[in-house]
Amino acid sequence: MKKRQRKVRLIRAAIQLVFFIVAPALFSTAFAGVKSIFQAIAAGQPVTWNSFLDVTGALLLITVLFGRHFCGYACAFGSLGDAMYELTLFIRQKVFHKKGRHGYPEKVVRCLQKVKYILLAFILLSIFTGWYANLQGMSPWDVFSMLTARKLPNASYKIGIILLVLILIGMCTQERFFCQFLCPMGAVFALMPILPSALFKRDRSKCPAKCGLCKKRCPAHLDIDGDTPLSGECICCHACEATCPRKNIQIGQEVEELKEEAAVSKTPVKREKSAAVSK
Amino acid sequence: MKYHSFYMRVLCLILIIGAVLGYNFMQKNDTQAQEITELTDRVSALEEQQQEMLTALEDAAKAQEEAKAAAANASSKETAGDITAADSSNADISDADNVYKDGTYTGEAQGFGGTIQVQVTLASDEITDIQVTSAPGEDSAYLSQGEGVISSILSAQSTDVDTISGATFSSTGIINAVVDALGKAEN
Repeated sequence: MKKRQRKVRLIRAAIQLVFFIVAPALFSTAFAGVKSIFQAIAAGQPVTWNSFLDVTGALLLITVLFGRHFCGYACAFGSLGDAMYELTLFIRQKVFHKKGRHGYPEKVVRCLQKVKYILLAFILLSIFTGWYANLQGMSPWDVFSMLTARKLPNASYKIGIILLVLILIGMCTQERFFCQFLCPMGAVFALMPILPSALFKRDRSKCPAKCGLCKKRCPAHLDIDGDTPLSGECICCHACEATCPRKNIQIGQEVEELKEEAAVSKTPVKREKSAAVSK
Repeated sequence: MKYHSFYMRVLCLILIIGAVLGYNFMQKNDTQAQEITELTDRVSALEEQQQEMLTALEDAAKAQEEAKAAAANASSKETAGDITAADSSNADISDADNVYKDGTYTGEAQGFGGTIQVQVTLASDEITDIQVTSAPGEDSAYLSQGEGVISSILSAQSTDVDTISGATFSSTGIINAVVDALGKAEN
């Protein structure tokens, strides 16, 4: 079982590394697209399609169709978070003599997960009111993208550097700290209507009582159960799938749904409708 | 209901997209209305001008007739017409008088992730063309966004233009590269 988890994790790490080297700016480009819409409205100009929105549109479409695999596999900042967490896992286990992964309690995680929406609203509102210019040099993303472009940020980015360091420390304390709690683009992704066929489903009837391994392993402490109000938080890391000792979890249709489909051909019509709406 | 949150999110997304499209539609209407008022203003101004010209022509015709009558009266008197030779000393604007030499010049400056190289074409002190020839360190989305500054340089015929928000580094790099190229072109 451990072997399967390792394999899934290693494949993911390899893909993350490739994306980190090839396209480290995708996440900030995508958010620049979101910002450009609000900048255009704030300036009283019509919203026009631009090269930022190419990236934003493509990523949102991928997310709607296939879930947040971008977050789990391609986002450079998410990969940075994973790297920080995995590298300090060893230290945490040695120093605190704790086995396995220990993040924040579920209640705290649930509250902190709301912070990113507040942050998104704050950024977009400040763009809308023109106050955003005052935030120049405060974005930790700017500092990060400067570093990936092999350029040292100057003194005007002091606050951004401090915030980046704080985020890096936070990343060590909880898996996917930034993505769940702070990422404004993550907030946009989490609000997207992800097709139910792209969500992780669990066949509860096969689960042994008091197992809950998947929830313990999930970086976002999610109950894996298809379409729920929190299903947008899933970053498609596939850890639950690899952890489940009974292989109960998989992306796609629920088992009972499959049965339903076989019995009555009513469900496919429903599915088609939902697909048409999201397009 | 099954897929309850999914349908809610679809609804929200449609509302947001609808809001943006509605905003764009209103903007379009606004600009059209503005264009229409501008055009009607121009038309009325032209009509006024036409009217003025017509009255002026009528006046001129009257004056000419009066003058003819006066000339018939004083036909014996000779009028001496002096011929003025318009000297067409249309001096050739020599290249030496210009601030910049004509031709194509390359300039370089730091963008976000490296050097941006541009090619500036000058013709009689006018920037006719700007091309980004190489920008290896620039993210393509940011670069093409930053290239928006080229059109503002061309229309302003100056490098003293606003940078593109969202692509500050790339557009600043392009502006500085153009400044560099202009420096090479100076006479």
